[in-house]
Amino acid sequence: MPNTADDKTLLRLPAEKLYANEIEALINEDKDPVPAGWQMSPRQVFTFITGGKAGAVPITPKYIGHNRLVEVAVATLLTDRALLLIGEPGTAKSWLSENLAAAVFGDSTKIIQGTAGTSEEQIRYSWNYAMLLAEGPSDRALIKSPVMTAMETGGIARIEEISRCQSEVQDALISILSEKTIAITELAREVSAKRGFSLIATANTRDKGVNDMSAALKRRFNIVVLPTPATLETEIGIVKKRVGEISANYQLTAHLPADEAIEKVVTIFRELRAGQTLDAKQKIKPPSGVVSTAEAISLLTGAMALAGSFGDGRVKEIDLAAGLQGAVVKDEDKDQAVWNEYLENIMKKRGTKWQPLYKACREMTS
Amino acid sequence: MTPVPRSDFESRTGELRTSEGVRLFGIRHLSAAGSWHLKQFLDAVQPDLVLIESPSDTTPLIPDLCHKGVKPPVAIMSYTTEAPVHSLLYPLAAYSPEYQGILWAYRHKRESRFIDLPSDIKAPLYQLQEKLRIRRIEEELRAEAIGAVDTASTEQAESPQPVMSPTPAEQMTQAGVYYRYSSKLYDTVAELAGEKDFESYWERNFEHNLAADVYMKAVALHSAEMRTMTAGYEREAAPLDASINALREGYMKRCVSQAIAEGYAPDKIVVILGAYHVVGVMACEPMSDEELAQLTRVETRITLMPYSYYRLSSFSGYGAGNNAPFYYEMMYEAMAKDALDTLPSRYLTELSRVYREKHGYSSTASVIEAVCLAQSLQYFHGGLLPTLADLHDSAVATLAGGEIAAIAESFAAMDVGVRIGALPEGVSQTPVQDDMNRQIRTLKLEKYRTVVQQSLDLDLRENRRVQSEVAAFLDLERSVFLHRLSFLGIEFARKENRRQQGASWAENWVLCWTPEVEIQVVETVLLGDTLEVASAYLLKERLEKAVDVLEVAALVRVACECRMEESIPQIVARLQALATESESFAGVAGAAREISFLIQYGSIRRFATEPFEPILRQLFLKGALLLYPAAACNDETARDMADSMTQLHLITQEHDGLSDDVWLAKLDTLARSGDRNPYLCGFAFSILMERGKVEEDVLAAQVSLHLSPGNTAQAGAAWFEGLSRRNRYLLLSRLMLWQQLDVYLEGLDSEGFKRALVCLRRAFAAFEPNEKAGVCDILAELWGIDAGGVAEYLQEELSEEESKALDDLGDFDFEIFD
Repeated sequence: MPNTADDKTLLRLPAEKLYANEIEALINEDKDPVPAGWQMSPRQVFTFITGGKAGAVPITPKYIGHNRLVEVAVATLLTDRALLLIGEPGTAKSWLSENLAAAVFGDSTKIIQGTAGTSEEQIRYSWNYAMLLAEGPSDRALIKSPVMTAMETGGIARIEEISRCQSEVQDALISILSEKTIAITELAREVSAKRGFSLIATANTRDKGVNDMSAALKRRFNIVVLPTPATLETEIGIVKKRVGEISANYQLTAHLPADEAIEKVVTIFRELRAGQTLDAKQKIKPPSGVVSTAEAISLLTGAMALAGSFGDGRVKEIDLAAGLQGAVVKDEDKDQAVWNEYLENIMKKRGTKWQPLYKACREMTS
Repeated sequence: MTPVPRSDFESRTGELRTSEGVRLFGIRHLSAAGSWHLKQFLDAVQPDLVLIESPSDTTPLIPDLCHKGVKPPVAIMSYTTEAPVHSLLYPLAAYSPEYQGILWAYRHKRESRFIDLPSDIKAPLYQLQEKLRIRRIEEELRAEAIGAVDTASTEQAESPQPVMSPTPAEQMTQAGVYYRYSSKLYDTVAELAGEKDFESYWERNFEHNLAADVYMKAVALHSAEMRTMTAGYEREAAPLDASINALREGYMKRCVSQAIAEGYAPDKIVVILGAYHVVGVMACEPMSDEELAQLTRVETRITLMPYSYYRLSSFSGYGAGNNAPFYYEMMYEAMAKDALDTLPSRYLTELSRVYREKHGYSSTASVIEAVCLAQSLQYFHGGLLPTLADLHDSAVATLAGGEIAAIAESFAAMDVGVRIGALPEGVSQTPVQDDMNRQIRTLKLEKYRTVVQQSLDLDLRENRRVQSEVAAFLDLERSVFLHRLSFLGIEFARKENRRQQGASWAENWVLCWTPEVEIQVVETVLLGDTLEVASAYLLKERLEKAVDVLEVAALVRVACECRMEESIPQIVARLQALATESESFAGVAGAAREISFLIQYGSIRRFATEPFEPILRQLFLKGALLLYPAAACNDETARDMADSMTQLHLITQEHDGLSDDVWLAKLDTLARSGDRNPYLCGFAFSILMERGKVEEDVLAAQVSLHLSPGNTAQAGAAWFEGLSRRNRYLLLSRLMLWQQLDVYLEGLDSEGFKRALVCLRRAFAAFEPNEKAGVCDILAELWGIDAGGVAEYLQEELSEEESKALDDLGDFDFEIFD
């Protein structure tokens, strides 16, 4: 879908636009054979995701810390299997999926956003009913789904949150993935996938109210489980990078938060997630909800928005405190107790560096 | 790493020969491709003499290793003859180049020899190295404790600064920094090549290429480069390691020169050695006679032992292992069949079978996908075949739904496997190994000789359904054998707690063989040539060291379980001596119990128990005499004392001819005494009651004495607790007792009542529910109220006030509580 609107006015650019120069450089510098339907070699795709250099152009790392998983993901797209990325909320599943599609195919917008209301037609095809009534079944009246478009062009379709779809919708995928064709019975023809076609789906492991994926569907995917960032440093790196990108995208006027603030937020999140302090000396009750890296990112950008709009443009403790309260306390009673306990038992005893944040949080809770 | 220019490569690896022209084939130990290439190489060169890096004194074992029945993995073991035993192991798998080298020579009727430093020189060197290693770790821990460890020092390691005459501590740290540097070097190589770890790097770059000459040159170059980067630094930071290497290389060179002097054409000699040493042996001078004479020697012996893949794999933390022996065996087999390219599909197919067995489902289609994915992953890194890491990662994504935990067990089964080696009869082994093997055979325990744990239930009674005496007592013989092993510290079998209560004839064992077991067997050789002799020797040694009557009594049981009847006179003498000296009531009682147990159940083990009867009499009398003085103790010891009293009580019930009268008299003295521990007085009294030695009026007098207001409340309650410890029905049948208790409690003031309550609660806590109900009945009768009502009242939830009152008792201050 070519985007005619001026890119500058868009709220968020797709990866292939955001990193257009990097993709171009990678294509120009490509020395390895390019598989059918791909726009660059798998090795360049790997570089695009994990960072490096293409000639003189530096490639920013898009996914940090688990290079081997990225290799498995890219290698999967190289075989004719579909790729399923599974992980807790906020482990960059969609982000990785988008960037993979952008690098391999140059278009990450063939996307179906899975919900409980997603219907089979959205996976296969539907009709422009006015035209269908007027002309009968015809190619003009046919509305192709993103999957069908990807098949025709030999590209990559993405399905987000596949486990939120009803099981009959998931079933529709089974035959598409094994036959690699969609039959349009009304037109007495079928659409067969061109070389290069593949599918990247993402699914969430922790959220409630999600349909289970059938074993039959799972078998048709190579599954890569994305872990939470392994070390504090990796997670700080991820948060810093994304906060920087988002604030540039959204034209936030505030200054980027200090490294110290990012480190504190990530520390708190990691400790709550792991149920123990980083030095593994104290146990902590974990909150009922998930405290993901993605939330740390949105917390910090939220704090920047607060500081930019209502403060002097510098992220202060009070801005972080508001975000922390919101991110941790999701179930009012239980989580509030968990958060208070953390504040009193852990944060309060952390020395002078943590005192301002502690006080701000304390004020927020009382 | 910058690629080495081609001309340079040629000049470095073109001619791997000593100046005399002897060919050197550098290998990595346990390398499948190494074995394959070595065989090609030997076929091409057709040497008359094959020299191999392994202690020269183990050369006589070569014919045994080539014996038809030898099934690798096996290990050459040398061990020092002085305790503590220090042993050196050289494991060989089917795919070890060293092993294939020996086999080649054997099959082509050529001579082969081992040429590394002999183990009597190596052992003290390695002992010294180990000592330094331990000291270094201690030093580092200490440094860490005082916070002085400089984490940045690892980074500085790239440019080591020569230190002027370092202190020992500094030298230690320096060595530590060097070891970290050199191990990091391997990680760095892997990282630069974009690999997960060094094993993957090695496999992809060295194990898959079967083109002629490639292996020898590539490995030699790799090792020479690594050596250049570490050797100088090693000399400085870890001088001992560097010296050991120099000694070994000098000695190997000496052996090469000797062979030439014997008349072998240099051109017809091939040396198989670790690739690291190739450069060293090429450059160094042979060790001279004087130099050799100066080296310290300790006495060592050598033997062969079966080994296991588990031990070989790095799981067991053993240095010379490779991580996936079973996988490499498959690889070597595939090479031998000229079908190396089928390895990935074979591995993944077998893996899927194992996985299916454990988890129920995995389809052939997903195996096909796994192979495709593994090939795609390999594409990223180049090379010829997917590595083990590629196979693992693709299996996780295709077979296991992305969860490594689900498939990890199957990986272990496929990578490591459960294989253990075997040595045929007649192959040189130590006498104890022979004895052990013989007994395993005659006792029909061969099927338990696996690395998988199996349980074995023994019935020690005579099996009357079989003909021969041997078969009738097979289980008993097995039990003796297994007990001897466990006494000797050979961990082949572990005795489980008895499952069947009271069945003294049943034993449950868990058996599992590991190479450690074999090592322990070999080490036993220092104690004696058979398991029986060794056990007897160890028993004698223990007996001489024992200073406590209880320790000796425990050895009595050992002697019985291991059936060492010759040792009995020694034990009896020692026991008698210690029993006379001993002043410990608990020790004497425990020993007496042990002997009593033996006399009762010894017959089931067909063990002559008569010699122990006089000892039991002596111990019992001694115990009875020690009772009264020992009863002056505090409340904590009193409970253990009571246990010991119970033991003596049981013994006198079970055996005749003991000084029972003395025992009763002493109990009576204790029960009536006023200055011994009240708990024990009460307990002694209860034993007397049980024996029917107490008249009703004496009981009444005692009760009223102990529960009189003149006695302290704690003492009274403790006495009652002791009294109620054993036979509570006896108490419940004595209404008078409860009457007096009731009167006593009535008469206490509020403070005194609280004191008594704390102690009495403890006494009654041990009562069973039906016993408590019995107490309720008695009280109801005494108070003339309805028994049901009392029980109901007691069952009710405590009111807040009541529970608070009870809680407060917990904080009760006894002031003079002693």
